[in-house]
Amino acid sequence: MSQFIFPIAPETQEERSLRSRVRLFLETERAAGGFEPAADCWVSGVAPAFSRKLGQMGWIGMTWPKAYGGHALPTLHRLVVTEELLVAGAPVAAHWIADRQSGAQILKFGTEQQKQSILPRIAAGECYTCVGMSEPQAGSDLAAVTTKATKTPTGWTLSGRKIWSTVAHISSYMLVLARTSPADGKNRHVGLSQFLVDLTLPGIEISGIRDIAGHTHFNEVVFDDVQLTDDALLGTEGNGWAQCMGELAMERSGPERFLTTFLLLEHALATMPEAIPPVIVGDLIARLSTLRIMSRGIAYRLQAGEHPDTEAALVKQLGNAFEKHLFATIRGIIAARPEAEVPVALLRLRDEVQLRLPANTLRGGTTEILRGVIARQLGVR
Amino acid sequence: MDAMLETTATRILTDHRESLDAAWVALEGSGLTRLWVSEAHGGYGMAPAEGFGLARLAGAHALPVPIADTLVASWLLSEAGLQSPVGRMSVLIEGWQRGIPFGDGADHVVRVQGRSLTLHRGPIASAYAAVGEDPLSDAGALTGAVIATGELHHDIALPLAALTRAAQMCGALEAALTLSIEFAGQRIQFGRALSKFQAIQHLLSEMSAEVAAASAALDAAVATVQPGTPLDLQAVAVAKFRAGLAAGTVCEHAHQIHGAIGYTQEYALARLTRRLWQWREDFGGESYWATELGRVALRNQTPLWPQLTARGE
Repeated sequence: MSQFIFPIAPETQEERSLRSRVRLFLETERAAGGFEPAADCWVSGVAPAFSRKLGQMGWIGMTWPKAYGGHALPTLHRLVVTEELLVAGAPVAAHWIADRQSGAQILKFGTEQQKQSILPRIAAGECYTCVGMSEPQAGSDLAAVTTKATKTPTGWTLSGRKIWSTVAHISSYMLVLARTSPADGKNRHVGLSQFLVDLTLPGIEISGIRDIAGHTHFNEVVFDDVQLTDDALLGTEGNGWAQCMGELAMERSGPERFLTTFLLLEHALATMPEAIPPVIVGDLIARLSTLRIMSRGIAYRLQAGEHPDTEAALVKQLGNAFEKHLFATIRGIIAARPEAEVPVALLRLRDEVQLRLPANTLRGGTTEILRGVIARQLGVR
Repeated sequence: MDAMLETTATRILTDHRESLDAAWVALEGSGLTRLWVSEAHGGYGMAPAEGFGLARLAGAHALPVPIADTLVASWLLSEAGLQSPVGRMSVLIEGWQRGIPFGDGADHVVRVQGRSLTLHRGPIASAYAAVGEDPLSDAGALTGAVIATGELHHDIALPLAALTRAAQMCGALEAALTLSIEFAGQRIQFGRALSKFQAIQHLLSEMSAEVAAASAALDAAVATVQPGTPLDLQAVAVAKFRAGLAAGTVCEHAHQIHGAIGYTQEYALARLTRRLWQWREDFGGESYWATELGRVALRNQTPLWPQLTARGE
């Protein structure tokens, strides 16, 4: 009956006990000065030492086979861990992309040698990766990429530039979308391929770009006739578009699309509970609870080997809207009184969230792109 | 919902659009009106989800028959250990409603005051018009003879009625979306179908996201319902809140897409949107249920997250 499918997946006993273990670990780390909670932590909090600790706990590469350093656990277990990390504001940015999407791509499309050499290091929290999709002239219009890979007798020559690559500066590998043959007339989705590029190779230049707040988490990466071996081709030549769409589904499906501002609500509730009327708290709870139900439904379907790509786009869009709604609500409550009466830490957090907020509805697909994805599923596009 | 029940219900709700009496006779004849009557009382004692599924289907078909209200009344009667009479029923929760839905056509009305339940003979005169499509009767006019009394074991009347409305709303929300998609595909302006305009595509996307959210919240709440136990107030609150929120966006966009034709009595859209506007007010609107959720959360005086996850969603 419904256009979209979100199965109801009640939490299991194992998930509950896992949640407690993660929470205890995070409380202990925080108390010991291991980290300061931060908003948008999956982009803002780069801390390799912390990533290695998570690797030791077995909380990276959780769903991958044990043969490649994974833990062969259900996707819903990974969801529990990611939720707890995000809500705690833990510094998880270093390994986040490798764990969320690159690892799965390597697992699915990589050679046996790549899987054996890279995945265990990712799972250990020691090896990081980044996304190589956007280019200066190819943002929302991803098929407009001009980075080019040309066949050589021993492999490929890669030339072009990628931009907005989060954590590229600490990454060992980038998954690059490049053109390997011309578009077929108007169909620009053909002739694209995905490459697993070792970022230590000669001819690669990585330069940081300061964001609106002056932080450097994303980068521009230039490839100047970089010589790649044959096995750098990830998956099938010409299948890059489809592979990237699968990768984007993973990129969009998680709770980092609705939990990045939650810290602000908890902080406001802890420091000025009397200022927040029950109807406001309940409004936010109801919206968030619904997103969690939907997010679990997606994880449940991924676990079953399905491809809930449009559902992921839908939850990302609703989730980003919730993050903005939460910010606007708390900001409004703060704005109703003189700043001098508001705890300083809460004001700082409000400002930090404000500065990070515009990125949410851009990265991983803009709201407008996501609406287009949903419209296509509805059959009107 | 069970596939056979769904097929039967869909057939009845589709075939008898022209004669509401015939629709009602068919619904009763097929036993659908007694899904929630316990076996001990001559019903089917079906899983709660079947009744909510029927309410949802009925909401989508937008027929002016009190199927959902009859289901709720029958559950309450069973809970109080009473037989459900044959015929159309309605519900009055004292202190909540000013109007009794379908009161002027009701054979019986179940009136709940606290946990005390009385079964009254209908119909109730003095029907008046409200925002919704279905007639309401003045609650003060319920003077018919009491033919049975009973006690509820739990405070289930309000959450049960609210969750049933959420189910009806999800059906109507889906139907309004489907109607809008079809209309946008057929209506030509500026030489192309409305659905080819990105502005319209985005309205439809937003509507479908709202429908999906309301539907997920409903499914989660329905999954918590067990006969003979209190309802999970938190889950019901989330479901009724989310359906109400979705109704706002979906009705607004549906009318915007349809233009003037959607604003007529004849066209099918108003049957859905008028009911959605009524149902979102019935048995607690968004703010009521949000306040309930917020009060509990603030009373606990602990961080919010452990409270949310303790519920195991």
